[in-house]
Formats: sequence, C-alpha cells, structure tokens
Amino acid sequence: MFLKSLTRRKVRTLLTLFGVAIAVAAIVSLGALAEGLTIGYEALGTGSGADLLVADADAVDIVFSAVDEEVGERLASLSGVREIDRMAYTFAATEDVPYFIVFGYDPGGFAIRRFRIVEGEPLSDRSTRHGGRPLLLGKAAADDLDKQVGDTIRLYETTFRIVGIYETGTPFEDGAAVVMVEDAQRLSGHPRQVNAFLIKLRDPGELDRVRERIERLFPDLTVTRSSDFAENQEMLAYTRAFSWAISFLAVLIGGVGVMNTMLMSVFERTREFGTLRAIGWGRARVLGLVLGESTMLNGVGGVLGVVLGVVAFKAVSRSPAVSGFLPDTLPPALVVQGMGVALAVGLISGIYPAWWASRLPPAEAMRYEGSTGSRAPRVRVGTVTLRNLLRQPTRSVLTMLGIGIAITAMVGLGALADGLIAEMEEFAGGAGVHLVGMQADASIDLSTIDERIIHRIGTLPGVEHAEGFLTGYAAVGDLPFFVVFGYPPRGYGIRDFTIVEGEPLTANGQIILGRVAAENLNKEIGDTIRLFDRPFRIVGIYETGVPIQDGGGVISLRDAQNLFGQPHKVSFFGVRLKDPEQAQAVKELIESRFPEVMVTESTKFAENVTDLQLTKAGSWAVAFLALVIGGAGMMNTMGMSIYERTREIGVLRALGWRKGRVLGMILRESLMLSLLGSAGGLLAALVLILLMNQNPSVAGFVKFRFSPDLLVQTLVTALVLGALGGIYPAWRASRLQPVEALRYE
Amino acid sequence: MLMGDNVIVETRDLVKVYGDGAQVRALNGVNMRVTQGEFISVMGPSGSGKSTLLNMIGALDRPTSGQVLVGGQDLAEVRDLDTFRARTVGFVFQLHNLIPTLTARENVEVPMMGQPVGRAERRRRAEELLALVGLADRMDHLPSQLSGGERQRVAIARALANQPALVLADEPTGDLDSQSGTEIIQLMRRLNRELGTTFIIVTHDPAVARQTDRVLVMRDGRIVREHQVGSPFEEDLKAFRDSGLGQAILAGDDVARDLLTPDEYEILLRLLRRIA
Ligand SMILES: Nc1ncnc2c1ncn2[C@@H]1O[C@H](COP(=O)(O)OP(=O)(O)OP(=O)(O)O)[C@@H](O)[C@H]1O
Ligand SMILES: [Mg+2]
Repeated sequence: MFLKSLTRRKVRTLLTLFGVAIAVAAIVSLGALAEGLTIGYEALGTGSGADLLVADADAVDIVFSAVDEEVGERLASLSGVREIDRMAYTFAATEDVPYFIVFGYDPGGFAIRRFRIVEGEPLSDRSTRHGGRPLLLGKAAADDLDKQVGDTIRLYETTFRIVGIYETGTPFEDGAAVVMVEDAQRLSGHPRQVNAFLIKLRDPGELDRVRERIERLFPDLTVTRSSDFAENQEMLAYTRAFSWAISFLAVLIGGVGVMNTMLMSVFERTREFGTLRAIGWGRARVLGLVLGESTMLNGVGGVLGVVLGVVAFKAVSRSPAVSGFLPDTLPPALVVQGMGVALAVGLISGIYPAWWASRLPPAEAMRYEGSTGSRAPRVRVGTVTLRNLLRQPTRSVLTMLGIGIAITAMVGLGALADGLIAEMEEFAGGAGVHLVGMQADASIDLSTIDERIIHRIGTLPGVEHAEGFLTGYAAVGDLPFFVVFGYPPRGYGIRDFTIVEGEPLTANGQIILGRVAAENLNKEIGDTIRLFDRPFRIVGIYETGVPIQDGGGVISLRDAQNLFGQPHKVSFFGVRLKDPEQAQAVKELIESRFPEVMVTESTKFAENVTDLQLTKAGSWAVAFLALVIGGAGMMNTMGMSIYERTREIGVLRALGWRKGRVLGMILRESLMLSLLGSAGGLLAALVLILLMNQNPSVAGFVKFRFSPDLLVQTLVTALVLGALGGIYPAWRASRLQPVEALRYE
Repeated sequence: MLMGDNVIVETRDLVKVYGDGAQVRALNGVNMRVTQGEFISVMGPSGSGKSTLLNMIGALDRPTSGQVLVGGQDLAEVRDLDTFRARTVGFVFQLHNLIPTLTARENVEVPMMGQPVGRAERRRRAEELLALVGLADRMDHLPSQLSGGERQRVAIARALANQPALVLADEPTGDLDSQSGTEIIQLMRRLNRELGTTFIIVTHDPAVARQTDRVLVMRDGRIVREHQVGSPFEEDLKAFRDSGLGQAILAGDDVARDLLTPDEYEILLRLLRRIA
C-alpha cells in the first residue's frame, strides 16, 4: 500500500516536473536564438573597429536601413572624423538556405579587416576578373554548404566565385558571406545606398560632440555608439519579445501545474501540519518547508528543462539554415536564466500553498479526516460530474486555467494564421485571375521572376493574359512594414484596387493608398508620401477588404522596380485563361517550359506557399507545446482525484457498479474539466481577436479570422485533452479491486 | 430453525489465504448455513476473519478454496458478479460509506444505476425506502448534513435498493453511540420482519448480538461456537436453572420461597419456565 501510494505520487511529481521542464527548455532554446542574433549584431557594431554607426532612423532593423552614398562624403568631411567605411547587409536565397546572410564591405576599408582569411585570398578589385563576382565565404557556411575556394555560388540569379574563406569567431558572420559593397547593393536592390556608415574618430573623447553634430545635420539618420548598436536594433527586440512571449506562456501553464501539485500536497498533509504545529513548529517554519519543497520540485524540473533545451539546441544548430542565427555554444547565462525562472516559479507558485499550510489551526488540522467528506461543498444541484469536480474547486479551477491558457494560445495563433492565409487567397484570387505564379522554391518575401518570362507565358496557348506585379516593404512614418505594390497602371491586376476617393493610378510618381493606410498615416489626396526618400503624390484612396492591401499602397510597376532595385523583375504574376477548365493543363505547360516558376490555381495559392504553411505550423507548434503542458496538468488532476476517492470507488463497485460505469464516470469528469477550461480559453481568445481587429496598426496588416474550422479544432482538442488526461486515471480507477479499495485508508 | 428450510447462504470448507510470503489464513475452513429470513450476527475478536467472511459471501473477493453458495448458486460459477452484487446482496459498511457529493436520495439511487430501472422509478423507490427508514424529511440532505445514525439509515435504505434477498452489514453500529446503535439494529430487525430480508451483521457489541436470532462466534478463521439465542443472559439463566436454587424454584420448593421475596420468586419462575 505504501509503495503504491508512493508511485502514485511519483507519477504526480513526474508530470509536474515534465511541465516545468518543457517551459524551461523553451526558455533555453528560444533564448539561444535571441542570444545568437545579439552576438551577431554586437560583432557588426563593436567588432567593426568603428566608434560610431550611422543608419536610417526609420528602419526597424539594420537590414532595412538605406542611407544614400552622398551622405558618406559629407560625413567624411566633418571635423573629428578620421576614417569612414561603408557597410551593406542583406539576405539572399542560395542552395537550400532561404535567408543566407550577405555583407558588403569595401576591400580597402577598416571594417573588413576582422574577416581573417584562413584560405584563399582577401577580397580585391583585381579578383573580379576570374569569372563571377568575388565572394568571401565564412568557414561555417563553407562547411555547411560544402564549398571550397574556387567554387562558385549563386545568390539569387548572380554567380559568385569564392576567392577566400574567413573566420571571425562569431557564428553570425562565419555562417555568412562577404561581397563587394556594390554587389551587395545589387542583391538587396538598393543601388547607391548602404545600410550603415562606420565612422572612426580622431579622438574618441569627441564622440558625443560628433554624434550630436551628425544628428543635427541629418535628422533622418540615427547615430549610435558601436557598442550600443545591438541594443538599438528593434528586430532584436522583436525576436526577444517573441521568445519571451512563448517562454512566458509555457512558464505560466507550468506554474499553474506546480501550484496545483503543491496545493494538493499540502491539503493531503493537513494532519501532518497540525502535528508539526502542535510539537512546536512555528508558522514561518511550515511556510519555509512548503516553499522549500516547491522550489526543490522546480529546481529538478529546471535541470531537466536545461538538459532538454541543450539537446534541442544541439539538434537545431546542425541545420545550416539556422546555424548562423545561433551562438556557437549555449551561453551559460541562459542556463542560469532558465534555472532562475524555474526556481522563481517554484517560489511564486509555492506561496499560496505555503501560506495555506502555515495558517492551519493545529487542533483542527489534527482532527482533519482527509479531503473527501468534510471538505465537500454543500452543493446539491448540477450533475454528479460537476459536483465531483467541485469537491476540490481550487484544483479544478487551476486545471481549467492551464487548459484555458493553452486553448487561448491555440485559437489566437490559429486565427492569425487563418487571417494571413485568407488574405493571401483573396490577394491571389482577384481580377479574374485563374493561375498565380511565383519563383519556384523561394519564400514569399524573396520571390523574383524576370519580366521576359511573363511575356512569354502570355503567348502560350490557352493563356488569355499574363501580368506580373512586384511587392516590397518600406518603412513609412510609424509603420515599420508598409507594403508597396507595383502594378502596370492600365493592367488587369490594378482593377482589384477599387478607388473610393480620388482617381486611379495613371503615371509614374503617383501612388494610390489603401484606406487603412491613409487613416494610419493621416494622409489625404494631394499629399505626398516618401518611400525610400523618393516622393510620391497621392492621387487616390482604394479599398479592397484585404488588410495587407488596404494597409499599403500601389505605385506603378516601373517605379516599384526602381525603388526596390529590381529592374525588369516582378514578384508574382497572375494568369487569365481562355478556358478556366484548362487550368491544370496550362499550369503543367508553364511549369515544364519555365522550371524557375511555380504556378498554382489562385484558389489554392495559400495552400502551396511554404511561408504560410510555416506560419500555420508555427502556430500549431506553440499550441501543441501549450497543450502538452496543459494535458500533463489534466492527467495529474484526474490522477489525484481518483486517488482521493479510492474508498468511494470501492463502495460503488461493492454496490454492483461495473468497471465500465466507473470508467465512464471518471472520463466524464475529465471531459467536462477539459471542455469547461476550453470554453473559457475560447472566450478569452475571442475577446483577444476582437481587440486585435480593432487595433489600427494590427488591422492594417492582418485581420484575425475565427473560422468554424477553428471552433471544430478547439472542440476536438478539448475532447482529446479530456480523453487523454482522463483515460489512464479512469482505467486505474476501474481496475481497483473492490476489497482493496474498501480497505484503503 | 429447521434444516431443509430455504437455505440462502451456505459455505463449504471456505479458506482464504492472504499474501504470498508471510501467509495469513484469514478463513480456515468455514462451514455455515443461513436460512431465508434469518437475522443473525457474527462476533469474534479483531482479525478473526469476520470481514473476510462477509466479503466472500458478498462476492467482493474470491476464496482460495471451498465454496460459497448464495440462493443455491455457487459463486464460482457466477459470470456477472457486478449484477450479483447489485441485485442479490446489499452492503452496509461501518464508515465513509456514502458518496459525499450525493444527497441522501441520490445515494439510495446509486445501486439502481446500471440496472434496468427507469429514472422516475428509481427516484420513487429511493423515496419510498427513505420513508421506510424514517428519513422522509431528509431526502435532499448531503451526508455531511446528517447525523451518524441518519447516515447509517441512508446506507440501509441503499442496501435495500434493488430488493436483495440478503443484507451484509459489517459493524454497522461501530461508529455510533449506543442509543443510535440500538435504533439501527431495531430498524434492521423491523425490515427483516416486514420484508423478509435476511441479515448477517458483524458486530463487536454483545448488546447488538443479543437482539439477533443466532450468533456465530469466530476465532482464527473458524466458527467456534454458535448460539441459537445469542444472549449471555440466557446462558447464565440456563446455568441458574441447572443449579440447586433454580431446580427448587421450578419445583415450587419452600426453600426458594424463603430465600426470595415474593416478587423475586415470581420473576425468576416466569423466566425459568420460558427457557425450560
Ligand atoms: N487484503 C488483505 N491482505 C492481507 N491480509 C489481510 C487482508 N485482509 C485481511 N487480512 C488479514 O486477514 C485476517 C482477517 O481479517 P478480517 O478483516 O477478516 O478480520 P475481522 O475479523 O474483520 O477484524 P476486525 O474485527 O478488526 O474488523 C487479519 O489477520 C488480516 O490482517
Ligand atoms: Mg472487520
């Protein structure tokens, strides 16, 4: 009997540990991602040897910053400036790696010196001659991509030749490549613009003076000390916030589980606490005892979580696609952080149980007869199932809270993903377009196709018309991601953008704004708006009902190609067919003629786009994480519940209840627990969705969408959680031998 | 009691051994017969096997060897023990025997759940049974709102829910004061008479045993003694009858009249004539 009760508690302890461990593992592995980015950005700043960095004040991240080259000459002529260097920084798609980091530096500048050449030769103008643009490859990237000096590598359409391999010791840089500034500018589509100027001062003591001077001269630019650079990157802040949000979610649900376990543990030991108090233990001592237990429980969970996190980290850093974003070794600070959070959660979730235990009046506690009976609330209404859950209201509420949080996360993220997908579908399906095409194997943000291909597609049999359009992001005012669409002004595609005010787009230099964007930016017809410092006159306001369109603006395709530095390129194209029945055949024809493009029926566009699938998968993964932790809590609660009711179950069996009936009773309880918790979570999610959709800066980008599918998904998840959480305890309960159960004290 | 009456319970060489290492012979060859409508008690020191015996008769556990026959049927051959427990026997336990979240009426309904009894019928029967045990005005109370004696009456009503032929009660008065204990036994006695239900009551209390038809006394897993009228007072009375004074009273001897007051003489004479 003793051993049995011990194993039962062991299961409870293990389940609790499991919840904490997953939360800590999330902290450690996601923290490593944020940490990797920080280290990389610090290297960009401090490692460059510069004193000051000058970048675009509006850019969310250095990768979006664009500063005109003329600025450089004026900076160089300032007094106190000794030397100036250019830096370009972008992502390019290359074999299997959609976001390959590429830096552009001047061969003669001071910043390139830290790229220590371990093989081959440094970058130089001279090396340009040997077929292909010269490129230095980081050691880690060379290993991952299996490349050597002399090999070629394609970044988008351009072929580069590897002239040297370098090492800096920073994974962010060692997993990347360095090219000439001009080549990087071409890749990023920003000719004659750099991401930052690096400044070396004559006298570092003059730093503040020079900084103030530059900021006065160029109000659009921001000047940071190179050592503060990383901290000032908003993207880094977003990544950190994201990693914190997920960790917080996991910790919250895990913490609820710990509190539950501790609370049940002190309830069970009421008499024990009474005895301790009676033999002279003070309140503080009891408090300390319980807090210590809870902290210890979490400490062990924390250790398990760190181990789990390290394993995840090791597994992930093997993949070349992400290794550049991860630090070499797991920073010890993260381990400390993970442990710290675990211990803190232990302490915090232990407070209420500890306070409860310390406050027990000794005499009463010693007479306490176990949790059933005397603690049973005086409720005589409602179903038997509900009444059973109300026996331990605190526990049931905590369990439902855990499940509720998980469901809120699932529904919220699901609605976000569905919103994005719906948006893409509407976006792709406008203007009677039957087929939509993009660059094969590219991510949505990076898809580029040559215009000539579109012209040739237009002449294929069965095709009535083919038209390309370009999309890009620009930072405008307070909006970090203002989406710019480039369409031929008199084409088919632009007809989707129904003008509600003013006139349609007719010429270069004009822009029509989405209604939401116009409101957010507080602009009217006749105003001008600057995109990358180029002015556009607002001639009309449109409304399409698709948030990403209504939150952006449309300019002519030519303007967009110039603006984004992609002459004769488009991002996507739409195809109208003579006979829509022939969609499949035409799709196959296009794809066989032009292997570089991928074509899907416009209604299926979203299904076939990897990015959207990734978003959806990500939302599922977060939801799954939350549900696993919530489910462990659920199983725990049901396990405790049958454990307390052992005798009662014996009585029921003695009175002729079948095993199946007992099983059904327990399962009904766990299902109800899960359904109630899920209903609460669903409600919270709906409120959240409502709030999000009313927030202008969110609504301009995406509209959360609560579909019936999501309701079904919630219901199914709730049922599965209820069934999974309840099935083992229910089975245990039904297997109890009546005599044994009756003898159970 | 006459042999050949309707035998409801019979055990043959019943043995129950617990444990694998240090074995405990909880029952060591029990042979007993209980006739339909009997009201009997089982006494014996702690650990003598009383509860074990009841568990075997109620099919809560299986014997190591030997047979239990209830209503002429060998329990080893009963397929559906759950239905047997629900319909043929009713249990009354000493402690914690009501479901704390259910009202008195719902507790009485519990054994009828899973039996072919409609919801309305179930409710009607529970109310009838509670009225029978004198709790008509306590139907909707939770166990925590009832006294110990009242709880035990609910348990008795529950034991009778499916109109079993046999009720097994393991120390039903063990937790009650003597006043409530007596009331419970009297209630069971009344039900035994009115419904004809057979009762087997395990007890430590001689006052309880005295009110039953027959007492089985157990020791070390065996039935060691059996009184037709299980009252120590009657034992004493028999011994007194066989003594000189007893004989003298019965014979109407003057010696007796001299020794006793007329009242005492009359009472003793009447008692001795009753057992003679
Ligand atoms: N499940 C079991 N496992 C092991 N031994 C048991 C078990 N049940 C009973 N016993 C042993 O069998 C013997 C008889 O137990 P039983 O409960 O029948 O006694 P009892 O006469 O009812 O005693 P009490 O008057 O104290 O209730 C005891 O020695 C007990 O320890
Ligand atoms: Mg007993």
